[in-house]
This record gives sequence, structure tokens and C-alpha cells, in this order.
Amino acid sequence: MKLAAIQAAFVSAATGRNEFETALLASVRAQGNASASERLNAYRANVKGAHLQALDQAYPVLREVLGPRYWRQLLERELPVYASPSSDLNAYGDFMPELLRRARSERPELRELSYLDALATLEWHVHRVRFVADDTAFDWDTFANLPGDVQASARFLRSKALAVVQLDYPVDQIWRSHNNLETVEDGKAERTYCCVHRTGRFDVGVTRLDRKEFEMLQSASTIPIGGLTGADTEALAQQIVAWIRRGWITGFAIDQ
Amino acid sequence: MSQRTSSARVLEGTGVGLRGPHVPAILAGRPAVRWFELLTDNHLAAGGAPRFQAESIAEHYPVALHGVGMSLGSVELLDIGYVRRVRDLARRIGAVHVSEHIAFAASGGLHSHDLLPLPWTEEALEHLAGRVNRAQHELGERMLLENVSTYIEYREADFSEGQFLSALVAETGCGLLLDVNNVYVNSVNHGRDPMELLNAIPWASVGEIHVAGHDARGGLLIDTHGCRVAGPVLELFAQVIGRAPDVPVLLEWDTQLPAWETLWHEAQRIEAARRRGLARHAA
Repeated sequence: MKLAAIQAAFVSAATGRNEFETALLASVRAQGNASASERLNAYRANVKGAHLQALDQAYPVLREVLGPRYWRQLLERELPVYASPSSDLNAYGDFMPELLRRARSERPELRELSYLDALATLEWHVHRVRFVADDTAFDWDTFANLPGDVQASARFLRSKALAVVQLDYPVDQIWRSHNNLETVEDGKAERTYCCVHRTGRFDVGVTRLDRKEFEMLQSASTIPIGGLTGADTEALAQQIVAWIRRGWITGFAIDQ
Repeated sequence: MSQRTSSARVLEGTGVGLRGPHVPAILAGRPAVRWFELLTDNHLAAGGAPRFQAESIAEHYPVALHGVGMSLGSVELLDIGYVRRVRDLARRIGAVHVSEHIAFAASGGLHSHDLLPLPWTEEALEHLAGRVNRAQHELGERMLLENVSTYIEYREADFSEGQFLSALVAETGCGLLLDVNNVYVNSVNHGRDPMELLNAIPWASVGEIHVAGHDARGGLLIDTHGCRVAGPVLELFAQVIGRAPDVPVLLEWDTQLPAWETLWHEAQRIEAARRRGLARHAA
């Protein structure tokens, strides 16, 4: 087999697909105490183990909610293949909300747990925010010295280490409870808005927003500052200053 | 191609592979570890805790970088962006050297996140050497490349593993990171004498030595890095130290991660074995 064919067959087989296995096994020397299939299975176990470990790290709350044994069994059955389009293991696992939606439609024991996909969505954002580049602080001096008309046409820039999320359940309570920050209240379906952000140098926090805050924070990067005026301009200004102080807004852009 | 000269730091004696859960204890207690090796891929994130940990440890200890994501043996396009991120991290933290593996991990746009074995063929050697040269050019320095543990060997082979490593060094000027546990694991898994490899490699190119634990599964030894270094590996290590007396040694422990104190104790056991090996060699 040529190198390219070996590699295609090996990655395919090691990540749980079988279509090239026969060709690959024919190119392998079987000797000693293990057959060629057993040897290939050692790689399958390694690959699966690495990906399951990555999912454990990305979804610690889901794992706890479902129980580690059920979580592992669910992943073993619902993940037919273990391959990733990225060399970055931290980028593996964005499929979890969809996987849970599918699992809930097929597994009676999960049918009532309709908040799971929302919890997965929230945890994925927490996971990603953890690894995003650190932002510099908002440059107050430069902003304050802009001419009034330029200031009004500028747009605020949200921190790169921030996600504004709309969820169908108040699962931020579950997340905070897991992190010993809050006790869980009634978890009925309820449109919930959250900001996932850094706290301190690298911890991640989840802060509940009301709908107005959510919409404003979501549009802050697209609407010129002059267009952000609401019914209460003073309250709006205070809100934006608070977000800048919390590091949620870290810069501004001036369109040419 | 030379090693980084911007850092006055050198790696000596036995170092420890840094793992995230141990960082708070290390920064608080500043144990007398000679040096740390950081898993490159764990610290490539643009910000947050991984970056902070790398920078904090490098402030207090000599460090080296050891990666698994470059997939140097792969027929995919070499990810130059990845190589440059490694270079930038190495420069930022003053890593003494950068190492990777003689393996491939990806094909057809899919990553296995495992170190898959290359065949010991002319085709693989030519391909790997070209990519190592390109990566070294982007890094601006010589890399160390590690012999990996394998559970499969291909029928088609133009070289033994030792001959392949030798030829790679000759064609690229790279250094070798000799993993003694992998030498032992492969010798058992493929039924051959570990000295075959040790007698074939160019010892002057060995820039780092790894030791780690392995587990038995079925009829194979698996390179799990999840337990203490086994006796037969330490016996082999004593012979290796005789041939590479000044080369830094690194203890790896990645799975079933113990408390820092346990790992530190194991590192001291390895350092004692290293000193015994040196004394035996001197006698």
C-alpha cells in the first residue's frame, strides 16, 4: 500500500469506520501474542479514550447531571465515529446539543429532560470562552478624546472572551449550582438570556441578562454608538460603562 | 540549524511533564524540579489559564515544549499556522527546545488525536524528511523527534526502526527524543531485542530521554503514561544513560494522574536511577 492509502485506511479504522479495515489489516504483520485486529483495536481504544476525555472536560455539568456511567454509555452508543476536523482537542465536542436532541427523541429515559440541549449549549460556550485570547482593557483616553460626531459613529467591540447566549431553559442555575455558586430552583421551560464571560484572569462566569440587556449587548458591535439611544439615555450610558468596567466591552471601531 | 540561543537556560537532570492540575501546587511550593516539559498543545490557546500556566511556570523553571498535533508524517498539507503558533509559544516562554513525534495523526481532513505509526519505507522517509525540514525552517530551529510506541508494524519495510531514525537525522539534521518506555513496549509488542534500535541510532543526536509507565492489555503493552516506570524500562534506562550521560531525562505521567507529591517522588526515583546509571558507567 502507498503511504497515502495506508494513512487514509488507518485514520478511518482508528476512528471507528470499517470500510478500509480489510486492506489495512492485510498490510500489517501479525506476530506474537496479538492478532492484527487486536493490534488495530489498541489504536481504536486510544482514539476513543482521547475523545471521551475531551468531552468529559468540555461538559462536566452534563456528566454530573446524567451520572458518569450513563454519560459514558450514552457517548459510546451515540457517537458512531471518533474523528475531529481540528488538531485542537479543545475544539472537539460542538456537536453535543444536536447529539442530545437526537438521543432524547430515541431514548424514553431522556424524553422528559428537554433542558439537556440547552445545558450542552451553555457548557460549550463556557468551554470555548475559557481558551479565547485575553483582551486588552478599553482605551478610555482615546475614546474620550474623539470628536463628538466620530464618537457617535463608532461601534463598541465586545470582548472576544464573551458569548451572549439565548437558551430555552434557565440552565445557568444548574451550571452555577455545579460550581457551588447557587442552588437550583424550578427548572421549567423559560426563555433565558445569559452572558458567558471571563472572571478574573481566566475563570469563566455566567451572568443572567434580561431581554433588553441581551439585545443591546448582542447588537453593541453592529450599531453605531449614536444609534444605541433608548428611552432612558442615562441608564443606557451607565449600563455600557458597567460593561466596559467588567471587561465585556473592550474596544471600539471607527468605520471609515 | 541550531538550538535556540536566546535562552540562557539549559535542561539538566530529571525533569517532569507539566500537567494542569499540578500547576497550583507547583507555583505555591516551588519544588526543586530541574525543569518542566509542557505539552505544546495544552498551551497553544490564545489566552486564559493554559497561557497563564505556561508563562508562570517558565518564569521559574527551564522549560521545553513537546507536541502531539503537528502530524509530521501525514500526507495532509503541513499546518503552517500551527507550526507558527508553536514557534511563537516557544519564543514567548523561552523554551529550550521543541519536540514532536515520528508519526501521523490525520488523513482526509480528520484528526485521530493519536500517534499513528508510519511504515519504515523509503517513501515515508522522504515524505517525513521534507516536512521536518519545512517545520524546522518555520520554527527557526532544530527539532527533536520522538520514537513512538507502536502496536502495529507493516509488512512492507525498507528499514528497521533504528535505521529509519538514523536516516531521518542524516537527512534533516533533527535531533532525537529517545523514549525508553516506547523502545521497551515496542520490543515486547513486536518480539524483538530493544538493543537492535539502541545499537542503530546516532547517539550524538539524542537531545532528550523520556521514561513513563505502561500497562498490559490483552497480549500487548500499551503506552498509557498512567503508572510508575516499570522495572525492565529502568534497566534499559540504565544502559541508555551510559550512552547519553549528559542528556536531560523527562518523566511523563498523563493518565490516572496522581497527586503532585506522588509524581515528584517518582521523579526523584528516576533521578536516583539516572545517577546510579552514571556511576555504573563511570566505573
